[in-house]
Amino acid sequence: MNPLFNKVALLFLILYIGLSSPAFAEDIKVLATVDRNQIMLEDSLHLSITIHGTQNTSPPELPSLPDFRITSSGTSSSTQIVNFKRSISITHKYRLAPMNTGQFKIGSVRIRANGKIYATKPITVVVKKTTVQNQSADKPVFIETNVSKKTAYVGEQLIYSFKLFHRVEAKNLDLSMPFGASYFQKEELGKAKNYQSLINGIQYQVQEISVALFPIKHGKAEIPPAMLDMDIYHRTRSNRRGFFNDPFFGQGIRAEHKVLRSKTLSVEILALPEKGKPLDFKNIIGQFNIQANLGKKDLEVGDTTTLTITVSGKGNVRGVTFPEPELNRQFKIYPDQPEFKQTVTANQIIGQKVFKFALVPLQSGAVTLPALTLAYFDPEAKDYRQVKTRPITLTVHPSSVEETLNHVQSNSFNNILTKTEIEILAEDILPIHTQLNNFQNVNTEISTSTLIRFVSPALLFIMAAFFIRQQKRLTTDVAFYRNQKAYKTASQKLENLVRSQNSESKEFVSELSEILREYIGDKLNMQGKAITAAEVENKLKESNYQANAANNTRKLLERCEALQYTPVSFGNNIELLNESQDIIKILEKKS
Amino acid sequence: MNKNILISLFILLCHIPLVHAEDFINEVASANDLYESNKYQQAADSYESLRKRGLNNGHLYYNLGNTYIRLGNIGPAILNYIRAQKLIPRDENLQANLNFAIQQTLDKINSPPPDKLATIFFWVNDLSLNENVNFAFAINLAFWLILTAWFYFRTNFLRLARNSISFLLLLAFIAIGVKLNLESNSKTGVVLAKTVSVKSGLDASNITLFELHEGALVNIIDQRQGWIEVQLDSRQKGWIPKDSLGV
Repeated sequence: MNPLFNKVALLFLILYIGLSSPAFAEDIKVLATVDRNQIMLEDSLHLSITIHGTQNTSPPELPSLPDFRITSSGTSSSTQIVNFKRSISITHKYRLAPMNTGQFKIGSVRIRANGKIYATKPITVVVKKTTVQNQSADKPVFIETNVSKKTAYVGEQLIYSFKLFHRVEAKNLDLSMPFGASYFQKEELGKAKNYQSLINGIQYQVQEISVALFPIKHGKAEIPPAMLDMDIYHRTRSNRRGFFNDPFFGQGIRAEHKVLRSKTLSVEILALPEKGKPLDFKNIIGQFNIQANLGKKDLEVGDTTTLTITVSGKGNVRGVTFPEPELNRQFKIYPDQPEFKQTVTANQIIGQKVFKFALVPLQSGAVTLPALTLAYFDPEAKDYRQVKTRPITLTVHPSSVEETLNHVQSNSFNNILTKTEIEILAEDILPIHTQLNNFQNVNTEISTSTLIRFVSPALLFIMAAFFIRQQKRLTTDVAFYRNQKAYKTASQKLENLVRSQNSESKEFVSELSEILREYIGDKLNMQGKAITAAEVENKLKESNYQANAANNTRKLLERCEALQYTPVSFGNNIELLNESQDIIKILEKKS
Repeated sequence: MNKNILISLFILLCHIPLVHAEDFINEVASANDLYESNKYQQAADSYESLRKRGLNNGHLYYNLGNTYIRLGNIGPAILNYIRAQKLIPRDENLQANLNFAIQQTLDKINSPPPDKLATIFFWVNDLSLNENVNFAFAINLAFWLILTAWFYFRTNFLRLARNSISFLLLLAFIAIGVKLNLESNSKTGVVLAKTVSVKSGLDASNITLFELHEGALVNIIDQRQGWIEVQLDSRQKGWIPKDSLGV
């Protein structure tokens, strides 16, 4: 390897180890600074957190700042080596946009480094409200909102305008322009307008956005403040002459973030007066004209002419409707789809709605179409108004063609013309639920009881299946049937024996012995009456009954037999009966 | 004896009474009256008080949503409509008002494509979880009854009925699973703050990726240290403070 390369590498290694060794390490210091302590509500504050001595930390833990909107502006790091001493630092930058006015404390910012926590000193800042005077006076940028009227009727068109005045470059505009949806319905009025305006001798570039608002209910409505978030760029002139000694190159650009808020606007919404309200009034508010024209005024029965009614004006023209004119069955009438056009002139919605009716005269003669009226409320005059068309006279001649024409035309018109679509005038939420029975608590958790509800039918099924199986076996399996019924039969017979026979008689003992043997015969599925005591013992043992029980049974049966054939009665045999019952119970339990 | 105890237990479980809101009825009525007399703030306080005390009811959430709309608080309104949707999913007024509220929001957010499972089990979203469970319970009861009858009579008709109802029971159980899965996986949140900055990490110092406004509907992916990870689509996701979102 090249010796020169080795030497250079060694030098770098020494420098690296030397500079990064603890002897050269700095103490960690953390510093929080702001660019200003007093700002206006529209301005933003720059908070810098500088960490000296290390660049290897987690991001700063900012304190809770509910009165500011925080945006990170990035980080910058610096490394300096002076006299073989290295100093490093990292700066985290934040932009704090105030949300409220007042005095606020930016609490300690905490930094975790080398297992320790470092905290900065708190900083106090004052946020002042932008005064009305300040709003426009000599400002590079300001906003204004206004509403065309402070008092309006329900349905009357209002113009809500937002204007941005700026004499510096503005970019990254983010406008929030709430309009109070619970009181108004909004309609857009096209794109933003750009123009210039002179205020106190200063020329501003103005961007204006307007929307039409239609109040939907009466009361005191409030339009919340509009908020504009943006960056503005100031051109600054440096004292140094720059490149080529040209003043142009001495210019610099300084960016500033602004959050501008407008004032809350209030509008008193009035209900339409009840006094003087025409019967045919259909919530049409504004100022309107109406005009009626007829296509052909001289025609034959079965010919077609078109009646055109044009309603124009400012206000909610879209909501105007016309039913078919009442023409005393002299015409067959086919309404056409209304045409609606809307233009925005000087922030005012001007509309025109054209209704067309195809008229087919059914009888000849001179006919006069009556005047058509439109009732509306004029908010400027604060009164209801009516506009009318002029009556139109036309002459209908008898048909030169045969009569079948009407039917053919009628069908074809039905195919072409459609009914008028219902237009949506306003939107609102549907009412609340008031049926109190519906307000029961609903448990939405799947609990153990839910699981038990699912399992319990299965348990019932198991029980039912066992029962059904038993029932079926009783009808098909004789041995099983005898086994199952043995105890019941024996018990009944013993009861009958007590009632019917004298306990001191030999018959009693004979009967008792028979009952016992029949019981054992039923249990073991064999002829009980024919078996001897010794056979009983053997059979019981073969059928896995306990030897003791089998032995006792044999002894009992032998005693019974002995008593049966003894000439003298031994007296009361109740003890023998009880013993038999005990034996039966023992055998029943073991079976 | 044991048989009787089991039958009694079964009957008891079949008729577990729901917790009636009789205690709340008067308060609901007075809150409704406050709403009708345009005292929306007081009505909202009353409905909220009922909700906090444990009254879980779709109609209550619907009324609360309406009240917030009247107060101009779109975020809480949408949140309560969505809560109501889980309990009364087929209420037409609720759907209309939810659409109205969403129209009032500033952010245009495309609704996510429907879940594949929800497409296959198309009826699941039209039924609340309780309705799905009750449907499965009814089918379960019918299944065991038919199985018992078939066990006794063994006719072809009962065999067909047994097979059909067992298929339905399987579907009903899967539907409950799908419903639970949809409710746990697709958690929707509503932005309650007027404006909230969506950060790239769990800290205010992180980069602001985009901003959301009140009422915006977001999908919740994760939750950590007072921050919630939200997603709009495959590209737009980030972290917002927990208190700015209603879940």
